[in-house]
Amino acid sequence: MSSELITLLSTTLTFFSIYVILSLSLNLEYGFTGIPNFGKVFFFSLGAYVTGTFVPRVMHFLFQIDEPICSATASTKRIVLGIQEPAALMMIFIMSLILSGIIGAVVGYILSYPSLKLRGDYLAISLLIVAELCRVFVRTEPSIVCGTNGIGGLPNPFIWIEDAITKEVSYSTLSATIAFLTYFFIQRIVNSPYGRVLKSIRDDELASQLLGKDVKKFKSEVLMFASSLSAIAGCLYAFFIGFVYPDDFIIVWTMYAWLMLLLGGVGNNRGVVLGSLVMVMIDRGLRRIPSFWLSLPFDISYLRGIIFMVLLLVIIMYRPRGIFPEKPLETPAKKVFETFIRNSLKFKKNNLINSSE
Amino acid sequence: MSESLLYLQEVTKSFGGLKAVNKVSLKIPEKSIIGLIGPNGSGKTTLFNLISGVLYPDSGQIFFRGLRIDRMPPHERFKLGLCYAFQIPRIFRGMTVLENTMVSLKKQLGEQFLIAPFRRKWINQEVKNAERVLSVLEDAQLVNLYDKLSSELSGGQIKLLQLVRTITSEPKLFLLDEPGAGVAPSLAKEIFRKISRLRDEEDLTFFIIEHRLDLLFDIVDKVYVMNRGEIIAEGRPEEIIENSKVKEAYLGG
Repeated sequence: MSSELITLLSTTLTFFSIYVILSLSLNLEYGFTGIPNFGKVFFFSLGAYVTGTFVPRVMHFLFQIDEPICSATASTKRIVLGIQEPAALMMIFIMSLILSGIIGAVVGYILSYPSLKLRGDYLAISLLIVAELCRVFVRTEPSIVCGTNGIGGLPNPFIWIEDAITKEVSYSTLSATIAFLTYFFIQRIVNSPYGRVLKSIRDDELASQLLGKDVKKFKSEVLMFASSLSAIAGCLYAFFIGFVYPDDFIIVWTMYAWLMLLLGGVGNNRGVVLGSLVMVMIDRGLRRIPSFWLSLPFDISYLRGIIFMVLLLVIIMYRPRGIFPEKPLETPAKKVFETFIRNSLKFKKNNLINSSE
Repeated sequence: MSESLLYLQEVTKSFGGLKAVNKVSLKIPEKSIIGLIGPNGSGKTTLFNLISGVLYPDSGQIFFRGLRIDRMPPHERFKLGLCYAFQIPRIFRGMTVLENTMVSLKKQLGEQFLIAPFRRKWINQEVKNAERVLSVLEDAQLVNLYDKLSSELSGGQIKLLQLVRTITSEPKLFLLDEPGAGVAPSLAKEIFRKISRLRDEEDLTFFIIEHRLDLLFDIVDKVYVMNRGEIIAEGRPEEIIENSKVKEAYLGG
């Protein structure tokens, strides 16, 4: 394989992993618990902001860089130091992942209060506004991530690897591992009595309460966990592209996460992973098409949006429950029933044979 | 008060200027079947909502098993053994019959976020629970439908499922809002026979709203009659039928 193709594939894999984490956490919130989180980009950007705030300051403190954090020389220095000090860099990377996760969880917990009071559309609109306000705030407040300019010079944790391809592949493998762990963990949680309670909250909150479920507790746990995951995805994204730029975190991210969810199937994790794959292929694929290939009356970057919207319409019209519709949970209780039914059928068959003799 | 399972003292709830429940006091002794009747809009369902925790009373006190519960959230009242079946069944429509029944079981280890991912820790309990649910569903003739979405069931089956799923949770007191409404006569009879059997065999207590007096009066020990938010009469079924106030407000003629 040519090195260009490997780079393309590994970039795609990294984006795929980030999308998977985002859409799976949204599926946990909306598909299983019924919380319409239209502020997905807020929790995602949170991870990036934490990274953009934490990494430069820690590096400046550790290595005593004198230049102001936002300056171009400082950002070059950070990259150089990243290459020279792999161990410290890895530590900083792991710490930012953990810190993003913790701060995501804390903010998720705080925002679980309005989500308990507000219902459906109102919550969706409020979260949408929170996300947008946060972006405007961060871009106008220079002390966080240098305002409109954004902050650069976040060294990739594998920047010290000399071979460019190995560097790329290492990072995408790491992201994919985190995405896989997320999938595995969410599948585990959902196919358990816990997942059963979440679904009951989604279907009828009051009835669930009257069956002894502490809806408040479950909702805040889900929001904490899902926000923490989104923030981790944001941290991975920030380290991948190497800078944090507030205007990057517009509503489109939220819409992408929802599109992946609706495309794959609400309430079906496997479907959501497939949805993410479709999205990332279209997204990355279109970026690779040089504009002279197609003669379009508009800029080629608009083509993406058009394709996504058409896709959304087609899905809603012809497969409203997604490519893989929701399925009953795979709990041990189901297995008990399956064996019982199978055995009773066998018993009936044997009886028929005996009576005919 | 000590021998009564549920005890209401001057419970009041108003919506705007309307006093939906006005200073209602009543006692439900253990292992009894008590009926609640009255014209439409007399506050029967509101009273049930107050007892179960869907609504909180404006004033008055509610005691259940000796504990004051009128400010307790509904999920804690359920844990004490208070069970509510709505008039229009509120089942979980996106879940199967099995999931609907399993979710109502109490004290499930796997319902804790940190334990749920570790199957080994809760699988034994889950299997035991499933076996219990199996016998209950077999009894209600729903076992072959276990993997069906509950929204695909017929009206009568949905009503049955709502009753059945609460039985597995070892309740002490059942609040049933019109268990016989919208159900074929034969199934309604079956449901009432079952209620009476459950009281005798499992020592459960029932508080039932019902308009089909023929079915209700066969099994109840005592009946309360509500009109405009107030209890206007109480007594044994044969006394209630003869009561002039009840005739005027509810029975007609």
